[in-house]
Formats: sequence, C-alpha cells, structure tokens
Amino acid sequence: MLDRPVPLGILLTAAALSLAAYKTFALGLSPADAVPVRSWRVTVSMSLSGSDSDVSVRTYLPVNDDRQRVFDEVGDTGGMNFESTVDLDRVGRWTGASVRGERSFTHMFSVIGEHVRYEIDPTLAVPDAHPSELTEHLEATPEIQSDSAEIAAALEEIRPADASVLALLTAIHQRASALESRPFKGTTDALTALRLGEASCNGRSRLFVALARRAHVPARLVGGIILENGTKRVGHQWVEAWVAGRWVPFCPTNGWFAEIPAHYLTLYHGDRAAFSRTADVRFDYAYKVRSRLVPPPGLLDAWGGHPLNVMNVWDAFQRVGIPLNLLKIIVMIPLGALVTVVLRNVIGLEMFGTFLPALIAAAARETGLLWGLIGFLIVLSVTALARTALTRYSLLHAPKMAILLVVVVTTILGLTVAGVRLGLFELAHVSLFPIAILAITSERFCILWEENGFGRAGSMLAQTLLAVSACYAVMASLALQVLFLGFPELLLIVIALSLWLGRWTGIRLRELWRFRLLLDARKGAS
Amino acid sequence: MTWAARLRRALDAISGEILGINGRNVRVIYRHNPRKHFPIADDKILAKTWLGNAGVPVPTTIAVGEDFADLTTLVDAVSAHDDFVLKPANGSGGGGIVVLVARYGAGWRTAGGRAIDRAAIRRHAADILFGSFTLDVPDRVLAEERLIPHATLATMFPDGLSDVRVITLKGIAAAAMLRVPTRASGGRANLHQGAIGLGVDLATGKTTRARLRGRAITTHPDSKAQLVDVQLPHWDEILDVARRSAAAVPLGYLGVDVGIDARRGPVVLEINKRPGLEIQNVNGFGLRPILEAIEAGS
Repeated sequence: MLDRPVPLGILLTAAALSLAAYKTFALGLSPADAVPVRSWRVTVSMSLSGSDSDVSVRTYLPVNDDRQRVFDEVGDTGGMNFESTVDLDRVGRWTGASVRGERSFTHMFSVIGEHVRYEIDPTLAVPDAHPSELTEHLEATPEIQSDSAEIAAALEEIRPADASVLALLTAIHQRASALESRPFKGTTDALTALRLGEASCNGRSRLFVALARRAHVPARLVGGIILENGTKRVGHQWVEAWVAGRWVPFCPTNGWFAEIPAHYLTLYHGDRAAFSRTADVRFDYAYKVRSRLVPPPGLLDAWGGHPLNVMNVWDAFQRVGIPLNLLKIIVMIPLGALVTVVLRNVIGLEMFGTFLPALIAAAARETGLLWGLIGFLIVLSVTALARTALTRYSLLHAPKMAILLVVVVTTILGLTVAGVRLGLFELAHVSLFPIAILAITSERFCILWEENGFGRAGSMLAQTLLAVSACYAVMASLALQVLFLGFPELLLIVIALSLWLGRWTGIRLRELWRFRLLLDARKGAS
Repeated sequence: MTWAARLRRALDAISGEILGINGRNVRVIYRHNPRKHFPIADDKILAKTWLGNAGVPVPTTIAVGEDFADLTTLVDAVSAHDDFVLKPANGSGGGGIVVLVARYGAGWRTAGGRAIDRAAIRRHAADILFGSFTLDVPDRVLAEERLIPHATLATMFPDGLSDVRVITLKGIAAAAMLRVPTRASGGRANLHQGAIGLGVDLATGKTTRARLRGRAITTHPDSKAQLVDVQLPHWDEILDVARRSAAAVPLGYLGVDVGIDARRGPVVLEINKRPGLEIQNVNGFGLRPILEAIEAGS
C-alpha cells in the first residue's frame, strides 16, 4: 500500500490558514483592504528638432491633491536637462544648449483619480466682497472678456430670479453647455464662443468663466487630460468656481456640475497653454494612456512592515534591481500550475508541456491575453515551419533543438521590433516568453502532427490555448495577486490541493465522453 | 433524460466502475509496477529474454543488432529466411516494424507489397540503431521469425497479424480482447490506428462484440467475415501463456499481447506495462471492480 498524503495536506492547509489568521487578527493585515483600484499610466512623449540652437520645452506635471494621487513618476530626459519647479502648479522644463537634430524625451507617471462631488448650499448668496487674493479670478482678460457688454447682456438673459450662487452657476453652466459642440481647433475666446454659439472645451470653459466673473463669482480655467486608453495629443479644459471658501469643479463640455469624474487628470490652473517652447524648433508631443488595476496605494508599503511577508522578498528584489513585477509573476505561477493540474487531471484537457500554459499566461501579463495568444501562435508556427524544413537533413536531437531555439529567439526579437514599429506595444512584450519551452513545444507539435495527423496536433494546440486563457484569468486576477503577495503562506494550500489531486482516481470529465456508450449500457443494465 | 439525471449519472461515473487515466496510474500502475522494472516491458529484446527464460513461447529470434558493426552479420542471418520481421527494440505503436512476407527477386516483399533488397534492409536496420523510431535515443534492432496467422484469424483479415490482448493483475487475467487489423489500420493491430477491437469472454474464449472506432459492427469491413460469437482457437493456452508471462516478470499489472501462430499456437509478442483503457469500451464493462476483486484476493 502507498501512504496516503491526506494528513500532510491537512497539516499544510492548517499551517497556511493559521499563519494567515495570525496576520489578519494579531497583526491587523486584512485582505479586505486589498480590493484593487483603477490606475492610469500616463506617458508624455515629446520630441523636438533643433538647428544648433538653445531649446526649452515647458509643460505642467500633476501633483497630489484631494482627488488625485500621483506615483511611480519617472522620466527619460533623452540628453536634455530636466528640472521641475512649483509655482501655482508644478512645471517641468527640459532645456538643451546648441541642440542639433532630433531629441526625444518622455515623462511617465501613474495616477489614481477619485470622482468627487460637491454640495452647494442653495441658500448661499453671492458675497459682496471677496478676499484680495481672488481678485485676479474676477478680472477680465483678452480671452475672457467679462467686461464686454455682450457678456453682460448674455448674463442678464440667463440671470435667474433666485439670486443664490447655486441658481446662478446652474444657469451659467447650462448656457456654456448649450453651445454647439465643435472639435478642438485651437483657442476660442469667450466672446467668440458666445457670438458663434459653438465651441470646443476651451471656448465653453472661457465663456463659463467670463459669465461667472461678470456675476462676481471668482472662476478660473483648469487644464489637464481626460484619461482613457490610447494615445492623444489633445488636452482638456474645464473650470472651477470659488464657492464658500473652496474651488468647485464644473465641466460645461461634458456636463459635470459641481462634480468631476475619476478619469479627469488636473495638470494646471488658469488660462495657460499646456506646452510652451522656444520658437525656432520643430516640436511634437503625445500623451499615451493605459489603464490597469493596481493595489490600493500605500497598501503594499503598509503590509511590508509586517514579518512573514513576501515584501521582504520584494525588498531583496529591489536591492539587486530585479523588476518588482517579476515578483508578482513568480508568486502567481504556482497558481497557474494548479489550474493546469485541474484542467489536465480533472477535466482531461490534453496540452503541450506540463506547465507551458501557466508560463505563457505569466508572460501574457505584459502583452494582454489576446496578443499573448497571437504571439504564442506566431512563434510556434514559425518554429514549426523551421522544424519541418529541417526534417530533410535528419539532424540529431540536440543540434536540431539548438537551431529551433535560435528560430524562437529570432522570432521573438522580430515580433518585438515589429510590435514597436507598428505601435503594437503589447506585442513587443513577447520577449518575456519562455524560450526553451517554446522550442520544445514546437518540436512536440511537429512530432504529433507527423505521427497522428494535423487534426490531433491542432486539437491539442487549441486545448493548450484554452488552458493558457484559463491560467491567465486566474493569474491576472489582481485580487488573487494582492492576496498571495500579502499572504504567500497560502501557497502551502496549493501544495495541499496538489497532494489531493495527485491521488485523484476518478475518471476525467473528458473520459465521460470517451466511455459514454459504456456508461449508457451500464445504466441500462442496472 | 433530464439534465439533473445526467449530472447525477456523470457524478456516479466519476468514481464508478470505469478505470480512467487517473485511476489507472494512481491505483494500479504506481501500486503494482515499480518504475525500476519498466525497461523489461519497454525493451522487446529484454522482454523476450525474461519470457524465454521462463519458458513462455516467443517468436524465434533470428538476429540482434547492437551497433553498426553487427549489421553485416544481421543481414547475412536474415538472408537465410524467406520471411521475417525487423523491429526496433524500443519502438512504440508499431513504428519502425517491417514485415517481410516472401522472397521477391534478389530480396523480399513486404506485407504492404513493397520490394525490398538487402541494402534496404541494412539501411532500415541502421535507421533503427540510429534511433529514428525512439526519438533519437540509440536503439537495438531485432530480427525475428514471422508468425503465420491461425486460420480463424486469417479468415477475419489475412493481410496482417491479429493479436489477443490479455490484461493481467497479479498473474490473474482481468479482461481480454482480440484486435483485428483493417486495411485502414495498415495491417496493424492498433485500435487508435483503426483496427477492430473484439470483446472476448474470459471463460469461453468466444468473441462477444466488435467495435470499430467506437461503432458496433458484426462483420469485418474489408473481408466481410463474421466477427461476433467466434470461438478463438487455443483459448486455454492463450490464458496460460498470459499468466506465465505475468509470472515471469516483476510487473504486477500487464497487457500481454499474444499472437496465434498457425504452427506454434499462442506466442507472446510483447508485454505492456501501461496498457490502454479502450479495452473497457471494447468489452462493454469497466475494469475497476474486477481489478479491486483481484487485489482483494477473491
């Protein structure tokens, strides 16, 4: 008789659960704190061409405030000098002396925004006087012509009977919102927007500010970007009005009244340009925005202080310069392995490689599932083609595998370059694929094709892709990632479950189909 | 049938009488077949040595080639025979096996009707030594006598060798099936390649039913011969050589493949340490209760 592993499994599970319970109750770590939030990774890419001239580029960089949190800020100055200063907002400035030819530089940061909503007391009247520091927010400017008679007339037209700030701002918001939409085509001043009856975001916002100032409510423009996946050059402008001692946001373009959604990123305040630069250079810029779910900010640091925490490993990783993302992947691979065990031994899927699906899914973390599967198929197809071409030489195994390895590496490098060229940055991350395993898989695929026909090899490939998707679904779950980073002892449960599954003698679900006639016949007999 | 009933039946089936891959590996193979003895079943030459030493009838060996220096001797040895079989010691699924059925010109004719001369025999033997049929692991080559199918089996399908697979546990026969090649299977008695599986009643040696790729049939698709309710010749002897084979090797769970030669009667072709599960579909019953009963010593 063989020993049964049940006691060991129970022991491991008990150990894992008691450690987790100790950390939860005695040390105050709670998985409930770990619900992921959406963050945006923003890359500001800039490039300029100088002709042996001194150049300078200036833009605004985000700061933390009560509704947005900025972190993981890094820059690639591309040979320029970079400095950031804070006046009203934070200014980033890139300068270069005698720049000839093209310079590219980027600035990256992550941001988590919050949707905020302000209550305006309906009984609040417009005050007679405002503190002197607000004076500039009441004055007319060349683009915000609050002193113009037309603006005054427009205000009188909409001025509500009720003299409260709330009613006034509601009327102004409606007036600015009522303009016909127009795609962004540069600056529109308040008066032009009023006269044309149409404007993009900045025209509407200037009209809002002009009407508010005319009505003696301090108001200002706010500049930033709307965060959504993709690449864009156009920023966004909205407004803030001073109500009861604080700045309250409004967006007449998208109809936000005294509230602002989480995906608005504030960069600067006032009627300013997002970028400015020396005149005699060619300059271009773009915002690349990508959303991802992240652990709540501060959580991992808070957990890092506790003993028995994987953050100690994290710290060790950081000291030797290994990317932190790698830790997340490493911690999740056992879980992916467990998924493949279930798919294989309980469901009965047949797939290439013992843990190939888990490893591909881990690599697909950077490419996304779709591009991960496509990249995998491309690498496999190219390598299988090469392998087929090599058949005629009847090579020995090891030298043949060495050649396939080179083909895999070349294909992956080619995909990376092609991905970057075509702007498919997700595809470019296929370089994380497990190279040796892909070479072996191509070989297995070809042998299976040769011996059992394409139908069988193709079916096994399809099942492998299915398994990759299942592994990805589990491994990409941020909740599980955070859980396992905070409670790595739970990996003991993976061992316990594998012990149990390792002695699982029931027939696989797929075998129900294989033996279906037998099952039918038995049922009939009994 | 309602979905609930289907589900209940499926759940019953999971731990029921059918032996699945998980059950076979964990309950039967790990328990009864120690890994260190696997090579006995894997290597046909080694298996023949063990079986032959125990007096189990096996095909007569004509020559064995261990390395390239042996090739000349091997070709000379087979040249004395009108018919013979050339096979890799470690091949699987019938890969690399060439059956020479008669002289043809200066050489021979294969079962498939192909002419093959001494040089080609030498080349094929070299390929086997090279590891062409064992995933590049160097192998040995075996030349042995060709069995002449017994009339009963030749009637079913003349152009290939049918065999009887007997599953034994602790030396006791648990189930048996007859495998009859077809034109589609290329003369090979391999169910996955399209051979017919016939359930055999252990007590009588009569065929009970026939399955071709999962479908029930009663006559051979090529020869139209009757397949069901046929009495297999030498049945007691077949069971006897299967039992003796099981006793001869230190592997508790075996698939013994027995050919029935027109002259010699039952001859063991090979033994399998991890026999397939399809025999359950062929016979129409699950192996699990039978194996459990044998284990319990009843």
